[in-house]
Formats: sequence, structure tokens, C-alpha cells
Amino acid sequence: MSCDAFTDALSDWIDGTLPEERAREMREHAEGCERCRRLERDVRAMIGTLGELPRDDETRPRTWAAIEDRIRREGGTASPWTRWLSFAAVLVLALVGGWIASRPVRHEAPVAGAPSLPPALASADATLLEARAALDAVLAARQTKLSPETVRELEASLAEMESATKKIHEALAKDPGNRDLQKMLVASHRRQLSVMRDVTLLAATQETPR
Amino acid sequence: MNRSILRLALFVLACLPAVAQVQIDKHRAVPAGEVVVRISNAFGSISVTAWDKNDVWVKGTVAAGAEGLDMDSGPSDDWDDEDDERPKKKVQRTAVDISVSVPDAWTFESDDDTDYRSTLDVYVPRSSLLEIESTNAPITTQGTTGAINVETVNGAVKVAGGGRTVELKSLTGDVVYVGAASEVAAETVSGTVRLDVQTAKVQVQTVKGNVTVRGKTLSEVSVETTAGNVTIEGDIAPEGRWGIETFSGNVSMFYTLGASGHFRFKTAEGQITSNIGPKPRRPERFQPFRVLEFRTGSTEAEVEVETFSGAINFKVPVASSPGPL
Repeated sequence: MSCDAFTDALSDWIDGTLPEERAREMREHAEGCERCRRLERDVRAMIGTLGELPRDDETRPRTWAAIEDRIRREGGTASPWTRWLSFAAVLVLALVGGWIASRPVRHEAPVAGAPSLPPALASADATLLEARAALDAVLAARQTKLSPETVRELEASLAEMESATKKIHEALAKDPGNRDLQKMLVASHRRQLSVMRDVTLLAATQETPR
Repeated sequence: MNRSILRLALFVLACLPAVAQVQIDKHRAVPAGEVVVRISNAFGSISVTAWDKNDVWVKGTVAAGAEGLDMDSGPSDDWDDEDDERPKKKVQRTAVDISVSVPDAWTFESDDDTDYRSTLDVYVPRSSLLEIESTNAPITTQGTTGAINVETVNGAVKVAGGGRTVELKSLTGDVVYVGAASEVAAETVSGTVRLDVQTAKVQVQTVKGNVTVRGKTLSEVSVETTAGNVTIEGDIAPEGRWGIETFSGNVSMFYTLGASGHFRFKTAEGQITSNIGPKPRRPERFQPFRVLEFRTGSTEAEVEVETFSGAINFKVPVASSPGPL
């Protein structure tokens, strides 16, 4: 297996969705390639903030399980479109997105002092902030591998996404039960994490020899 | 006299990096049929052209301080990822790996990578499957008919051709695709995306890069962006599905024939403009989103556009008469 093939399949491996034979190839490659092993360690470290995700195991991260339990108690269901998303943090978002989609909606007049967000969404929000901090730490260690111009572009784009998220939060503060806004918040978080993941993988790939 | 010598010396010094670059000219014969060609060049440029020979040819220059150009070939066990519906299976093909090795010290402490640049012009059999990666190199490919996968950090990506799946990813560079691939996925953070396709399934993600998708008949279009403007020019297939989601990016859709299907446009703070259908409305009194929803024509096509503050503009050339939902 080449380092490229390893990098391409890494997310699926960590998600535990690879066929056994391919998972074995991944394990063997990681054992023999120090740089890919480091990449795997970094990616797993990012996920670590959401709970320990064992190798090749479908066991869900503790935090995800906790959120899922909470969602179940609140009567929601998981969305099936999570397969393509790679990280547990994103899975959390998708799950919350499914829960949002499944809830009945009734729009009422905004009330001063109303609760800011539904508990499951607020919990996912907090969890994602932790994940974001972990991703930032990985990025900080890698930034010398990206040109200053790239880092500036990246920071500007992340700021753009953060600004979008903030505005959705502000709108949600006025209308906490709005399903469309909740879905937008989930999508915004998902995009942020997706970009962070891609940047980390790309930065790491620069170190990976063929 | 002294001034002339000085000028000559300066000229020679200026030419040194170019002179020091190493010319390359390598061939590798390959069997007929699908061949995987993997190319890696961190700095400079990569250009791939299809030709009708069972031969892979690399020419160009390698940067003076680079460790060299490696060109290896051999059997490669790849996983056939073309079809998500099928169980994945191993496929054995011949693979040619072309890579420029550079010292670990070549990183990105400044924006100037002039001395690191290697230029690769690669000619490959037409049916080749391409896997290309780079950091600071524009990448162009033309004429190949197999799957194409390109990843770069800053370089622009320009692809023409590709027969099946095409995946193009650049962090800050622009992505341009022209061809008849059945599935095209493009992803950038700040680069623009321009896709000119036939009847493809299209998936695009950007953060602030603008997106333009042009096609005769577009079956599936999925665009997600935070702040990029989205323009779709073309018609939806009879059972097509389009989903476009932006935060502040404006969305414009221009049909070339007539509109048919179920259309649903939704925005919180943007404007909705359409030359067919009823006026946008708020479904409920305190709902912040305004919605324009209508059905026209006889097809089962579905178009859904959602923005927070981006404007939505929908135009069809001939006014259809929208029916009740």
C-alpha cells in the first residue's frame, strides 16, 4: 500500500468502515511507515476529544453516545446520511441534524429570556468547540508546512465561517426553536470541521513520501 | 569595460538557477489498457496530456537542489472505488509513479518558492487513471478518459476530459473542469470553481470561492458554500435533484430551456427573485425565512435552494405556468 492510498483511506479506517482485508493493509502500512503512523496518531488525537475511538471498532465515542442518549430521550432519530462524514465530531452534528429534521416545528413569537438553544444542540455546540480547539492545536504544529499566504487565506476563510456561525447564533437567540436555523448552524459547524480536517490532512501529506 | 564585465556577471548570475536545473526526459512502456499514473511534484507545475501510445513520457526540468525525479512502474493492487453500490474489490493494474523528491528542509517559510520549482510535462495513455498531488504547483490535465483525482494546496487545477469520476481539490487555488465525466466533485476553501459538464452528477464545496456550474442537462447538483456566489447555467434532468446551500453567497440559476419540477427557495435575510412562480411569502407569521415554492411542468425534478443572507435569483427563458403544489 502506498502512503497516498493510506492517506485516502485513513478516515474510513478510523471510522471502522473498511473491509477487513483493507483494514489489515492499513495496519501493516502504519506499522512500517513512521510518517503515516504519525498522521494516524494526529487524526486520532483530533477525534480523541470526543472520546476514545478504538481501532477498527464500531464502538462510538463516549461523547457521541451521550449525546445520542440525550437525543433519544428527547424523542429524536438519527439521520442516515452520516456515512460520508469522517470524524466523530461531524457524526455528532449529523445526528443532531437528523434530530432537528425529525422534530415538529411551530413558530412562535420570540420571547425575551427564552432558552438559547435546545439542549442537544447546545451540547453538540460545546463538544464541537472542544474539537475545534484540538484541531487548532494540530494545525498550529503544522503551520510551518504551509506558506504564510496559505495560512492567511485559511485564517480568513475560517473567520468567514466563524462570522457566519455567529450570525446564525444571533438569529437563533431570537428564535431558538427555529428548525431551519438549527440546521444551518449544524451545516456551518460541519463545514468548519471539514475544512480543518482537510487542511490537517493536506499539511500532513506534504511530509509523506511516496 | 568594467561596467560591461559587471553587467555580464550579473546576467550570468541571474541565469544560474535556470542553468542549474536538471533536464529530464524519461519513458516507461506500459501494457495496453488502464494504467494508473501517480504524479507528485510539490513546487513548480504539472501538465498531463493524453496520447495514443502505450508509453508514459516525462520531460521538463527538476529544480537544482531537488533530490531527483523518481519514475517507477509495477503492478498495483487498487481498490475499485468507482461504485458505492457494489462491494469494493481489488483490481490489479499497472501503475507508474512519478515523483520529484525534495529535501525535508524545503518547506514554506516564505511565499517565494522560485528555487524549488520543477516542471513536469507528462504524456500518458488516453485511458489512464490519474492521481496527482502537489503543494504549490498549477496542475493541468487534458484528454484522458479514466478517473482523475487531483489534490493541491495552492495551485490552480485545470482539467479537461476524464471519463468517469473526477475529484478535484485545492485549498486556495482555482478549480476548472471541462468534460463529460459522469461524476465531478470539486472542493476549495477560497479558490473559485468552474465546471462545464454534460449530464454529470456534480458536488461542490467551497468556503468563499465562487462556484459556476454549466451543463446541458444536470442530473444531480449539490453545492455548499459559506460566502461564495453560486451560478448554475443549464437545465435539470427530468428526475434530477439540485440542492444549493449558502450562508451569504448569492445564488443565480439560469435555465436555457424551460423550467419543470418542484422548486423551493428559502432565505432568511436575502432577496428572492424569479421570473416565474408566485411571490415569496413567510409560511408562518414569526418564521424568519421567506419561501418561494412552486411546481411547474410535468417532471419529478426537485430544486431546493437555501441561504441565510444571500440573494436567490431564478430565471427561465420562457415563462412556464406554475401549477398548485
